[in-house]
Amino acid sequence: MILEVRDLYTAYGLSQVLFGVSLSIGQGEVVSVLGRNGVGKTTTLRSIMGLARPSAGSIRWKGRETVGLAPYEISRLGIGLVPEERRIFADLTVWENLDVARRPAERGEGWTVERVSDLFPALRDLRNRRGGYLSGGEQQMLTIARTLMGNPDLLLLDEPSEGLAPIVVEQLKEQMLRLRGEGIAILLCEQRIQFSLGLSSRAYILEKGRVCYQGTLEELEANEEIGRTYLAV
Amino acid sequence: MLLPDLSFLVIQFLSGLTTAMFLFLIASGLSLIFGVLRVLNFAHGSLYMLGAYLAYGLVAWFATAPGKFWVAVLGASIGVALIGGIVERTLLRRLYGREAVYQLLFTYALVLIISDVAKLLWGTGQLSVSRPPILGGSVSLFDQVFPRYNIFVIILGPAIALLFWFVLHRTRAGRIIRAAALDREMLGVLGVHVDRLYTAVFMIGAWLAGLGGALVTPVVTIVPGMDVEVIVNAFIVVVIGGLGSFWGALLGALALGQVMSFGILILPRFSLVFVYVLMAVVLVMRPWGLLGKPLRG
Ligand SMILES: Nc1ncnc2c1ncn2[C@@H]1O[C@H](COP(=O)(O)OP(=O)(O)OP(=O)(O)O)[C@@H](O)[C@H]1O
Ligand SMILES: [Mg+2]
Repeated sequence: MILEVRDLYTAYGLSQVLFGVSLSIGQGEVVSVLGRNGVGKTTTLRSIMGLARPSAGSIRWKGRETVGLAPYEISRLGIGLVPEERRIFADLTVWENLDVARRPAERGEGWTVERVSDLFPALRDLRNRRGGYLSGGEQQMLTIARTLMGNPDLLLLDEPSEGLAPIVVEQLKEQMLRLRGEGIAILLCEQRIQFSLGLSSRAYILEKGRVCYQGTLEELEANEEIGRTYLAV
Repeated sequence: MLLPDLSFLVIQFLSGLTTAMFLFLIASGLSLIFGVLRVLNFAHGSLYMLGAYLAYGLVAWFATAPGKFWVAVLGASIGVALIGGIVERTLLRRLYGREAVYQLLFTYALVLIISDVAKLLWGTGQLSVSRPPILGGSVSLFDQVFPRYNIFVIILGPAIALLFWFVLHRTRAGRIIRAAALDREMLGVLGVHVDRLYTAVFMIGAWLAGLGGALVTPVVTIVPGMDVEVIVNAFIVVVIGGLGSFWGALLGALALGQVMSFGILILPRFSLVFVYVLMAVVLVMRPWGLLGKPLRG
């Protein structure tokens, strides 16, 4: 396991959001964290990234404890977050957004503007467009591409399909499959199961800040009861 | 009122331009620091004054050396940048994320401290620095004379503006600074050590202020109180141009320089009236400044 999260408790001020979340991811594995609105998916990712400080629990990345490290340090250790709100630098062009996030790979050839444009061909024609003028789908591709520029070994993807047209979602899924083929591990948060099907092997279901179910996607798909109770449709 | 002849107007325009270049140096740093750190640095005028006093001190120190003025300008501006860096790292840093009023109080306290330290070190008298020999004397323009040093300042201003633009838009460091102004947290998530970047940006802003203060020494007398005078003018510039906007600082400085220069001709004793009228008009029509952007939430 390259990432092991154990008994994570995170609160925003006085409101406790995570009540002992545990999960793990192996090298190159794609794992889903599913759950409805407000169950704590984003908070889990923010805790892993160092953006929210857990009050208890541990996060071990490649065997090393990362609780207490700053986001930039965690990023440099090889974890990349793709935030739900996408957070493109609106006044910077597409190319500038990518350039700002560039960090040489520790080994291998690493991602370049050229290579992320092969993965997301739409970005090539938009190089000089400002981030603020992109469509939702284009922004989603750019925010993933931008995080890839830092050569992470693990990608934390927060609801990438949110707000996108079905055809764009299909295309995005194709691209994520290609990314999986590159051997990069992905922790994927979604409210619905559809995007995860065929992409991830295992899933955790969150409910009110706790993991209430875990299993393979096949098991989950077969178990309609669980889907109805805990997931959005 | 007699209509002044054309050559006189040209000279007046040029002296307005000279004023504008000093205003630009200080306002651009103020604007840069606000744009990235979101701190309104009241002490920016004090850094400018420090630049002037340090330049005076260095010129006196290197009394006999050739090129002492240039050494002093370089040394003073770098000195102010270092002081700025130390202040940011050790003190200002603790106030990020607090309410803006703490930062205002802190930078205002700095104004008082720097003002007293300057009085302690250099006294309260009027000090002056003579122009570097190479730029001494005047040139004649349309039957009028204009100091050669001022021409140098008028050329240097746009050169620094261009350099500034080039760094912000054509280098990776500049792109990162622009990204930091937009979303600091996201930049950290992408692996940038934003704390260090903030120190660097504060030092660049302080350097510009120190440079302005050092370069102004042959043109004005150095006195306590120049800090407050210049910060008031710099605030007017950024209110007109738009706080946080680079081109806004340039435009605001050009506008204020001319209004000050020609205002004196029309109403010699009340020339400030024109400055306030200009500011009021801009505030009514575009409260966020000519080239600024309405503040997002
Ligand atoms: N900055 C914050 N301050 C206070 N409460 C917060 C903050 N962010 C989130 N919360 C609360 O924490 C809970 C979990 O939020 P979180 O964003 O982790 O959920 P989520 O599973 O990502 O939901 P969604 O699917 O809507 O994105 C919610 O009740 C939310 O209101
Ligand atoms: Mg969320």
